[in-house]
Amino acid sequence: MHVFYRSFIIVLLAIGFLNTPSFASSEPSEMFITSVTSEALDILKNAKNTEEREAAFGRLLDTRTNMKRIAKFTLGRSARTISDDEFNRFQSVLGDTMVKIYANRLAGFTDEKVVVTGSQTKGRNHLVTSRVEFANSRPPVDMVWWVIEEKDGSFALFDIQVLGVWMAQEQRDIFSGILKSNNNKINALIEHLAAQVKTTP
Amino acid sequence: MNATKILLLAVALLLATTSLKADDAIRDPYESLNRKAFAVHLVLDKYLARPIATVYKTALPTPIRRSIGNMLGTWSMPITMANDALQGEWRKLGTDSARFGINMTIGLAGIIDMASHLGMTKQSEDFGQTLARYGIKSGPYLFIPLLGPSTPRHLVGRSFDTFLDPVTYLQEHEYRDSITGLGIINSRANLIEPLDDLEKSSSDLYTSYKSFYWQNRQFEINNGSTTFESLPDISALDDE
Repeated sequence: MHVFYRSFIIVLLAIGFLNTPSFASSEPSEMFITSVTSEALDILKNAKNTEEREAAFGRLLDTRTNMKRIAKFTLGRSARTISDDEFNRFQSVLGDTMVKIYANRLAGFTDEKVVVTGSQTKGRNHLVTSRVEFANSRPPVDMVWWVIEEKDGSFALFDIQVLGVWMAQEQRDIFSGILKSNNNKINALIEHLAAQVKTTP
Repeated sequence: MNATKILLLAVALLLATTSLKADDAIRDPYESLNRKAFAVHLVLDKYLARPIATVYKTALPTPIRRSIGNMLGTWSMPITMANDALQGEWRKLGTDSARFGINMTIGLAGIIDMASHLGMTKQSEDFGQTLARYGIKSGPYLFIPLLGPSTPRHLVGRSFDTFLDPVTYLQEHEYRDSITGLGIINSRANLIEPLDDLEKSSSDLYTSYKSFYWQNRQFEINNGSTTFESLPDISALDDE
């Protein structure tokens, strides 16, 4: 059985079934994601409690994303019709909501490893692919990070895709539904999100 | 043979009522009805599916549950292989056939996912995806209690896939039903934490399910590839 098994592996190797992916992160966008994920995993590992984790995630969002752009995207068409004050209040509550969502959804990811596997670029847009490897031998999960190069050459994270689902797109779908059921009143959406932030543990 | 007739009728109806254009967004004209079905689903899930899945997860250690998942996944590979062929995906058909052969032999009838260990990525195809590849539109979003999110195209696909599933042809219906039930419980057990997290963090759980379903379905139809062409145009967002 062992001889059969070893021969089989050698045959597979010979015909190229076993590919060894390259993990080198040489592109600036890839290095950006390596740095962001390392920062996020540090927060998840070291935060002593929920408050500390949420505060650190808030700082990460402020420094590594362009919240104005994300707020405009998630609002969809409504972003063009509301006042600056309404937009600023929405952006602020959106930031708080995102911290709650991701601090919650990612809380269990403490022993995971994120390996950047490649990237593609079109203009200022970069799609960085990565694989999350779990410590508990769960099958790895592929993730894609949509990164945008700012005018000053820095990078800002715009969206994250897990198993084909873009998180900002999901938020946009939800906000669109809430606005639709409230006659497109932005204050209803802001109040809804503020209430969610308060009630989420 | 009644089921065959019903399936053919459903395909014919679908073909007759759809045009050969790809989808770019999901329509939800029956939202009110779907939300009611979703509420029923949540109750059934809370008092039936989730408790059974929790007991199952508690009783069986992770390696055994993973082996069950591997085995059921391998046994359903003929569905993927047939749809690879229907889509003209010959390279994928080769890989999936190799996966099936490896897992059924040295993977001990699928208990060990040896093919994944050998670097052959797990992929799945179904008849709903095949219809999408031929340009058949999805039709409206539908939520069916216990079955979950779907569309008419996906439902027709699921019905057709049962004819490609080797489990369908087991003579003893007790075995057939047990395997089907085991698959449902195993899938639900794998989703306990993700769905609990989603429930805690979503502003509108119904829409989250819909968005997750639709995005993931498009991703599967595109064979898991993400391209710039599939992304929304955000160039106007930076304009003041």
